[in-house]
Amino acid sequence: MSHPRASASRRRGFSYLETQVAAVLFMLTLSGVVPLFVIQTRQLSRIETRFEPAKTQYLNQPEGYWAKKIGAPAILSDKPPEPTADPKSLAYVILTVDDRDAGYSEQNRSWDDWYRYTYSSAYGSDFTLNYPDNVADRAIWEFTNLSAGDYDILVTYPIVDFANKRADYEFFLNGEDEGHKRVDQRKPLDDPPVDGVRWKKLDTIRVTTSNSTLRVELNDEQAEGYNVIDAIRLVPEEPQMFLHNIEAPLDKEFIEVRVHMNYSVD
Amino acid sequence: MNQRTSHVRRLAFTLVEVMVATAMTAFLFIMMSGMWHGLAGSMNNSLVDARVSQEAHFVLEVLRRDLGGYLPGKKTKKNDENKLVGCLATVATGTKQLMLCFDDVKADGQPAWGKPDTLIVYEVQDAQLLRIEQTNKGAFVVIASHITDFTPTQLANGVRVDFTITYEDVSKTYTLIAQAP
Repeated sequence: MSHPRASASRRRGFSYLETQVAAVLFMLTLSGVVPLFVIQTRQLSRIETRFEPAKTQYLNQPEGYWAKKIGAPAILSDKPPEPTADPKSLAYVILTVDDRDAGYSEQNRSWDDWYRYTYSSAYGSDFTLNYPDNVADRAIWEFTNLSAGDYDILVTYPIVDFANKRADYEFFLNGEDEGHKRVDQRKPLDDPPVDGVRWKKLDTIRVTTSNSTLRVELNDEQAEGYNVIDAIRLVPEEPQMFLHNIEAPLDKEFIEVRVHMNYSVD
Repeated sequence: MNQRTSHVRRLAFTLVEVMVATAMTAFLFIMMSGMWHGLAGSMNNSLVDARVSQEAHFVLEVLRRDLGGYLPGKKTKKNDENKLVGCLATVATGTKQLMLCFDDVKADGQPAWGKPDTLIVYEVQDAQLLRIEQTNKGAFVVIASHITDFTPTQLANGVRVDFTITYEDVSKTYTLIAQAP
């Protein structure tokens, strides 16, 4: 005789259908892992896109005062840095030619027309006087190997009572006449002192090609007094910069500042 | 004929039922196995790729800091103090090195390749990329592991760095070009 509990126990076992349903549910649970895997894979490909293997990428140095101050890291880019004007190429070193330097010369020189003086208040502690005999005497300052850019032309001379009231400075760029400027050498110079002497701005000249030569000439034609000859200085003009806009997006690692710059280059 | 015996036989599986059930179960397991294998393989590849990418980013970030033009981490910078003034790809006793020289407080603009300037050397030892501060008693930091090649090359206006990271069976080469001072 069969025991009723034994029969009931057999009935409590899983049926085949139950097993199959359980297996399907298990597979569905496992398939829930797939989206996580997809998310991870996509995120990884984003990271790899930032720094891809087998592709040349560039570390471009950031520019600006704060980049220097904080030692900002280089900017990763797939493009090389934009060519920037080399400050040296714009002759940021101020050029000065004194009346004793190699770049200075005198035309129609005679022993009784030109007088040299030592004077502590002059540039280089000396200067030259040229007698106004209107015989085409010329003091010439020559600047060579100039790079493209705008340059201020400044002059200095010591103030003397008998100086030329109509000193005529002429400018020649690569041999071409670029105009002239008349100066009353008896009036004090108005620019701030540099290298111990005051200066006066004569003009601004634009150099458009590299290796240019600028000549400044002072003649004694129509002079009203002695030409006082000392030094000429070329100062490259600072490029003009205008702020365009500033972007600080949250999804980028840097602030983007756009500026307009007026800059003369080759 | 005993009716109870007959009833018990009817409750059991027939041979056909057992065979069908076995076949379906086997089919199910094969499907699960294939799916699991594919999933686990892809996850493994993904983890390996992630590790390689992570090591590459370690190298990238440190080189970004040093090749940004100025040495970070100093309080003040007078003139061009801490400016990158020298960048040299070289080989010392068979080891490829990238040497970076940062100017001292005098800021003369010239690399001294030693004190008083700050000299940083990158080289690989035991598959680890080291950043060695030569002018600070040779203090070094391990930048990344699994580096199988590190080749800096001097360019006319910069330096090129190729490095290869190999992890398990995945090997990837990265190339960076930086401006020289």
